[in-house]
Amino acid sequence: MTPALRSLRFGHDALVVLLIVWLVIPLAAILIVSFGLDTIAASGQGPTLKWYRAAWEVGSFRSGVRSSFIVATSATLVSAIIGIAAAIGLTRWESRWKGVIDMILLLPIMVPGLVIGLGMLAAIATMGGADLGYGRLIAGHLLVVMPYVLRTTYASLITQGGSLEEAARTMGASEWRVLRKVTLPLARPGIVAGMLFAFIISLDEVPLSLFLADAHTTTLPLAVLSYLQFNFDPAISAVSAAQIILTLVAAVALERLFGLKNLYGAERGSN
Amino acid sequence: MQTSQRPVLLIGPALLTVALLLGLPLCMVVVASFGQSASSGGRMTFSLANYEDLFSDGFYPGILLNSLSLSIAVTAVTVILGWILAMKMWICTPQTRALLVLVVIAPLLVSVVARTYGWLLVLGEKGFINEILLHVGLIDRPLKLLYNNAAVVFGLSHLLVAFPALSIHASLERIDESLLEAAYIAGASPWRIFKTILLPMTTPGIAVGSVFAFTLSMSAYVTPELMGGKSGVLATLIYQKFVVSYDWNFGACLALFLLLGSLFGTALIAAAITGPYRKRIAALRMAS
Repeated sequence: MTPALRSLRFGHDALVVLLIVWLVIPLAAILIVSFGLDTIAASGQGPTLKWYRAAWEVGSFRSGVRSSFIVATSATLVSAIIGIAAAIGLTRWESRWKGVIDMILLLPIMVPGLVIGLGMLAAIATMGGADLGYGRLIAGHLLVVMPYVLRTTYASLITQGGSLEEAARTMGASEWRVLRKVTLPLARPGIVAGMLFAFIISLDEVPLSLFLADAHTTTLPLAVLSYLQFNFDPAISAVSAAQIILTLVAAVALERLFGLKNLYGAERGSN
Repeated sequence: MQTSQRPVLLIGPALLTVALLLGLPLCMVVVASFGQSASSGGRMTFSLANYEDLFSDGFYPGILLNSLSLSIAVTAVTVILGWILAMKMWICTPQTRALLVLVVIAPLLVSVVARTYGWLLVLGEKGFINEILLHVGLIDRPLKLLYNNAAVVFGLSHLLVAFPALSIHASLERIDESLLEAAYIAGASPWRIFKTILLPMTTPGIAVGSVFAFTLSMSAYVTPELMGGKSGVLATLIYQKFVVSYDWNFGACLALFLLLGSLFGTALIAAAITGPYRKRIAALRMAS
């Protein structure tokens, strides 16, 4: 740390600690309640898994997990294919329209999910309102997670540069071989990170799903939300705690694979 | 790098997806806002009735204003807190940075329902804070911490602080360290360095972060629904109109306003934040 940087510290470490605690409190509360530790003084019992069992008994939670899983997996796979292709295409394309196209492909994250969901529902209804089952949710989810896969894949490809691809081509490799042996392996950290990120985002997705889900395809967050509006028992904490634990595992995996800093572009000196 | 036809083929599906799955619904929102559910029986009609209703009744502008004021408050809070977090993430040991990045990003990956529920557990009448305060004897009756606008700002700020924090951090990391060294050696005080280098160079980060915080606050549904009070928010109203009352056209009209409102706020933020600093940023870029 240079002296210049050191001079900029304004002794706000205490405040940062408070902020970290603030960020973590709700998650900690959920974990505590889910293991029954909040009633430790009253009941004298140790940590228990009874709320997890209770959560598993709730039918809407079980079907919610199933629906969320189906939608997330499908959306991630489809958006990965489309997004990876687009990322590869963008690295090879020389055009002044690149900025515009880039912006367009980023739009799904910029437009509120509420508006997208509403519009989609209206569009489907106008065109006959066929019963598409999971189709509606998958379509909506793949739209909003695609930009993530695209960006992480693109970031991976860009940092490697096109020289390796060029080298392979000049050595006589066919386009398909270049793709298989050079491009995709180079992009792998970005692809895996992007898909993991996309999966998690799809699992958590609420505003879009509020409009696109129906009674048979209710995803887990929606199931928890409607349960919350009538009940307030610790079963909810168990479900949420499971999500948090899953998320922490995913976050650590993302850090190892790709580096969390790279997800939002914080590379020192990068311009 | 060769410019062949192939790149266009590769990008095509993505563009098509966005055009179809995003463009079409957006068009529908615009079109539907001009229609009338009840009278036309589902047929397409053109009428400005929805827009008239929106402005004639005092109720709807009230909700719009409520959403706006909440969003502005949340944006301000998250930018300030985010800036503090970003500064720490910038000037710290690699281990601290790893911890901070994890603590900031991980909550983003947890569902908004779970996070808001967590606050209900802490702030509710039978929540942790009240239980502790009652137990210790500091209060006689549980505090009503929830179900008001302050609670919504609190909850949304917690949800969204990561966005400004991360984008400001990204901006800080891009600052050329030699600039800082030069300023320091020349004897500049920390405040001066902040004013002349840090602030201008982080305006892109502040702008991007504010846009996310503002847009996401404007369209927030879960947090105001679970933690909010009587004064409604735009998202709840839209959902009510669209899904509960089946008044699709009016719902679409409201959604269009939400979209336009967000766009307007975004443009305003971008202009206000980057405008005054454009010359200074250019000068700093040339110097580095």
